[in-house]
Amino acid sequence: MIRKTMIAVAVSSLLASPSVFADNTARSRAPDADARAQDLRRQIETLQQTLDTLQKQVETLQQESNEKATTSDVDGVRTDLENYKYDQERQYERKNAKSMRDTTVYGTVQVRYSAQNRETNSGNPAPNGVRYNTFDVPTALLGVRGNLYKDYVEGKNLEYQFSLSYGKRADGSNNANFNLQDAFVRYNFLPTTDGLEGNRLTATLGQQLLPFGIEAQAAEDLRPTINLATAPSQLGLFNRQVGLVFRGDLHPFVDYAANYRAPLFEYALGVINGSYSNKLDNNNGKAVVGRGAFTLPVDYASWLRELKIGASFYKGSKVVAGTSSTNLESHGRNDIYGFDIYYNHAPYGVTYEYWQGRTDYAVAADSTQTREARSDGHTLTLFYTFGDQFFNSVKSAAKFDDSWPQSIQTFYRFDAFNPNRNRAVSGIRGKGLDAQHVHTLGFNWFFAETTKLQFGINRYRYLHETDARKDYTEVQTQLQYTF
Amino acid sequence: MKKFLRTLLLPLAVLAGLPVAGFAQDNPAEIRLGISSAGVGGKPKTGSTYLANVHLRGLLENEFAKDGIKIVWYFFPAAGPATNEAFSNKKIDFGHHGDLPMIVGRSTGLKHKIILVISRFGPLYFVVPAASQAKTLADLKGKTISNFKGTNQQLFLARLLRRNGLTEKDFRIISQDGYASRTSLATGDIDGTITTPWSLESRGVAKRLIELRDDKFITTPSTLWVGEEFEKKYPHIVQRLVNVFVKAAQWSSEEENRETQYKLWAQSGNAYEDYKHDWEGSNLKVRHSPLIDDYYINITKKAVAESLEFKLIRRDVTVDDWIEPKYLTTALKELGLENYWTPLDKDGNPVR
Repeated sequence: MIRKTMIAVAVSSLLASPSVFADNTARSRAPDADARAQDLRRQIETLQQTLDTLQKQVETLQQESNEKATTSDVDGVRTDLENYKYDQERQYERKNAKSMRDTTVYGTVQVRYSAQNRETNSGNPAPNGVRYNTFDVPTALLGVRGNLYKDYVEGKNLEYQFSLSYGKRADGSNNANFNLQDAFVRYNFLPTTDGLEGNRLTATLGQQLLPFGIEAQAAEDLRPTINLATAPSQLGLFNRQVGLVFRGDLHPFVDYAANYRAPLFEYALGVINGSYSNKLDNNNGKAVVGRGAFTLPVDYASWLRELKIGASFYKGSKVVAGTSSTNLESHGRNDIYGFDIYYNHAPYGVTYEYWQGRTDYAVAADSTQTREARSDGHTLTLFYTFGDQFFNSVKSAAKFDDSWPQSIQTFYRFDAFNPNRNRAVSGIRGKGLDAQHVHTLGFNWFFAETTKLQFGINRYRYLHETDARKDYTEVQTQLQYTF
Repeated sequence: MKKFLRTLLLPLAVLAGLPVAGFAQDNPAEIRLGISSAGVGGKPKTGSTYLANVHLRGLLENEFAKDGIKIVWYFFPAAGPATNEAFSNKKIDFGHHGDLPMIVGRSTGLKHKIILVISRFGPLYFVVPAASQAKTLADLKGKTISNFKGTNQQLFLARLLRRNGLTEKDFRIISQDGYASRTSLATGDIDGTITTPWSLESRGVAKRLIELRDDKFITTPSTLWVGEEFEKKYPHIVQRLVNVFVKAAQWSSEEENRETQYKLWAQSGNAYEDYKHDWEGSNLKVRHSPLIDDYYINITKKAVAESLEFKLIRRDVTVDDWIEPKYLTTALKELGLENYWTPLDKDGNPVR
């Protein structure tokens, strides 16, 4: 401010100087006086410019001075910060659910309506009168998962999963049980922080889904159709079992263009009780389950991406019960073999699975002999999706709101199952007399991040109809949400 | 409700063979841009480039509103690979990429044309835990360095090591995403990584071992490309879009807009002060230059060679036939900006 005033005074003095005006009056008579006057004018202009610059600097300094935070400002921010910290601590203590380890709570619920053109007396509970349609809650599952040890350097993490699912009691009452579903710990033997190129190997100990085929390995929320494929359902492959299963892959093909990882060879091998969920082993023979799959090593941009061919086996032994609770065979055959093809090139997708079961049964209820039932089944599913549900990039794109790409996945499924190609055994007619085909046309409408509305028209066709088993058509719609 | 009906009826219409696609048009219904980054916590906003200014100032929306063309921005937290995935599935028309994901995508057959340079130079920080005794990279020999494989960072690290006479074999390199590596720095599980240091330093958990400013050969320019199919179909739209971008580059290059840009970019969730730190001393005209000059071509060719050397691509990529400069040339001419930016020679020195 002082500098500004001084310069202003100097300029004013210069402008008011008598010598300047004296020279001006003599300008017409003396050329040297003109030159001097011009020189002085230039000096004035220069001084004026300097003054302007200094004035601007002073203004800038004043402005900056005004913008500087004062002690009170800092105290105010500190108060806000302390309030925020206090509130966070209070919320954490009183409002947050806590666990000993990092935990994710998750669940899946399905709410269904189904109607059919023939009356039915099946279901749980079986209807007392005529029933053509019903509402139902087929699945309500609640679980937690997380890690027990996190290895930041190599990613050899120890993980866990625990879930319970409601199951209706078979006694006709209105009660339900909460049955144990997943209960396992999983350890990663190989590093998972070495990028996409590293091999993987895990061991999972406890009750878990079986590494068999495609659909049997999919958790409840990821199954594409309302009804499960018949063969794995009848052969018990959807039942979780207790044991130790190793899963891994070798020689992954990596396309960094889209971070696409396609393991050339995937494998799984496990030992389990073979007595299904929530049971001790019912004999002294363990079941062995295994799977191998080959994925075509091509770039993500290739039309052949995600083409996988796999084969699975389940070699078990079962107790074959006869009359009077006697065991005809404590180590009867209970084997399943499978083959599958998976192709997913959104919007198109195709899956095909074949199963063959070889299971010992009592020839008849009062018989002392056992016989092998040879079952087989196929399921072919064709998908076409309208929308972006299966594109990770679009799904994970940054967004402010809760928007989600709406998609409709249309599908057709052909499902065939023949429970016994051999001679009849107890409860299962032989020579394919109980074979059935199911044609399903439907869609999955993904309208929120974890919610889908499923719709399907099922045409059940029995190759040999009886009075109790006649062809019929069923319409189902199901809302499934996960959280 | 309209969206619901459209979603519901579309498959039925297709199955019924109805002409849902409509008639051929001179203009697209929408222009879809894929950006290989996102703001803090997944915000659909970014900073640091004149492309961010195009988005934050709504310039494309203004340009194409009169034609009823919708502008769709995708910001991908999963970075360059997500942009490639989206383009592979015909979900975007334009893409913004760093060099490596763009090169890898091209090598696997993605068909696009380079039309603009979006950014170049800038800072690079190699950060170590606060308690680290290391004074140089060589002091970390045999120790664990984190790197996000498959991203630009992989090339940055390889170049940085090479400059210091080192290779990846001198260290134990693990792959982590940005979040995991920053956590690991704090826990001391890794001994160094390339990351932005500011929030870590303010928490006292890490410090800078190396800070490079506007290095010409460690960091590399980012690019805007257009899908070949879109370009062939709508060249006039591409030209208008490039004009908007070049005009924005000029606005962004003006010193008087420096502070305004920092404030705009801070909408991404990164602190205003961080941008100030990162851009301190940088010449806006150099860093915002959209020119596809000899420097850009040379550094891109080098990146291709490095990608092959590090086995990040399996097939070679030719650069000269990948570039389509006509839109930029026309834009500079139409906007009278032919001499506004100074092109750089292959070594990054001003040509005039």
